[in-house]
Amino acid sequence: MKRLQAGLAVIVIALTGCAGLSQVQDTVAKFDQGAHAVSTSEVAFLRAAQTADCNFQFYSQAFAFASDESPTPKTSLITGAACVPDELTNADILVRQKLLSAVALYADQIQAVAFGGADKTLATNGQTAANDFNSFLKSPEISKATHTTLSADVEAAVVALFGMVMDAKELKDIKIAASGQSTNLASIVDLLKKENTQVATNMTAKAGTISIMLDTSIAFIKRTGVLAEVKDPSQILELGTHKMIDHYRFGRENDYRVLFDIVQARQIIQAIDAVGQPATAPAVLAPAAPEAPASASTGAPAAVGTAAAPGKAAIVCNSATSKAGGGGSDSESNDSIAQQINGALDALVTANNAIANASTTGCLVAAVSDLVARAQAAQTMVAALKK
Amino acid sequence: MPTPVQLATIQSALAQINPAIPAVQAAVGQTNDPNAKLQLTQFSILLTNIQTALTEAQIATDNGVFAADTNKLNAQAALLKKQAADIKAILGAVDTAGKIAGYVTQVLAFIAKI
Repeated sequence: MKRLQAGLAVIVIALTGCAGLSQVQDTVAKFDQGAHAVSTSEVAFLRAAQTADCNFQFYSQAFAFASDESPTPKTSLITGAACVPDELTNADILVRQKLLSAVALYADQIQAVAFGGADKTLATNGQTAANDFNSFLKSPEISKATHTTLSADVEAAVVALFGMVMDAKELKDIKIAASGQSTNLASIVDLLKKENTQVATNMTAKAGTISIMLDTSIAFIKRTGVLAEVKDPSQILELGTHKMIDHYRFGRENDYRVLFDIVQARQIIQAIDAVGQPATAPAVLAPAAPEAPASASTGAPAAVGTAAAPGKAAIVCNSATSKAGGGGSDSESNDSIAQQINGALDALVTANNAIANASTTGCLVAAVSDLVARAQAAQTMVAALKK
Repeated sequence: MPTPVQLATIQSALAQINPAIPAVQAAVGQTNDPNAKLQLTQFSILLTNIQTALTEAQIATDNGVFAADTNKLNAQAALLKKQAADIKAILGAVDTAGKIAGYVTQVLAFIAKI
């Protein structure tokens, strides 16, 4: 037992230089907390995007119904029908959940190693999750698929993360454990970020399209108001359609009825806008580092908020992380939720690289604080979206 | 697995349709004619639906979903071709007409290659 404790102390001192055991443990525990927060936010974001997709579908359908001017509308309006998302199916989200569960289990196990040894329960959970993932890969729809975004490197990354969770009892050094998974984490993060960006772009397009549906509706309402004042029906036949005649028949009552549609549409636009990207330039994720140390292993300058590209050398840390870690300063900017989550995903990779390569505790603490701050900010934004 | 060419083609189509949609949306604000607004709005809805189908084709993990997306994209592309011709006159009065037409031509070309 004493030999084990002594060995652990040596490992921790080797990691931190001169930091105490509790500080490293505390920091790694926060890394775990940050990883879970990022995972939760990512899934919540995808669910929110799915909801926004359904809102768009409904509103498009309503617009098609409203603008169908044939005497017997060809467009049906099924207000109570369950939505089938076009953009992100439930299966798509399930796959991303599996990727994220690998990341969360990995972070759990890193924490366990930092606290003295791999967690057997986690290893069992990892085994179960890995089996589940393997079964999923072998399922008919996947194994026969000619199309999947789970490229070989992402698939291998997930398998490797589950493998680490299962076999972590062999690991005594979190630096080695983290170093071994840095490329795998970066592969998964790279995939999620690209998808988040496109999904957010789509949400912006949907919000804009709903907005012009309103604009067009209002233009017709204004014209109908004019028509309602027209006394000679022949004038209406020249100007409009059957729908216009209906408007003429019912007069301005219809105009006021449409107001309620507009109020409802406004609420939908507000919900979708929160997911979409801002129209302004992308927000700066973190300020430039005034004293960015070169990586001990690569010599490359550190870059906070930028994930190491898959297969590339790991980033160590950056003094700027400590500033960003002060409380999620990005939430004050016009970051969209997608950008916030992408920043948190980047911070996850950076924090892992800091665990793998940090030569000072300051670097590690700054990187992990940055992760936690960004993850919490992302969670807050997603939670606000649900309201 | 999609071939790298397939994925690149989908991404290229998205790269063209992403800026086309806000350009069409902006065009709605440049006209006061409700009928022109209506046609442009319907055009924007179609472009948005194509963007959605392209994204799903990119994200989908299910072979059946991908096949359905491809079929949907082909049908939408035929409609896009028709609508683009119909609204040419409306777009003619818009500053960004040339850009929008260019995007649409490119999108159609990429979808044909998927």
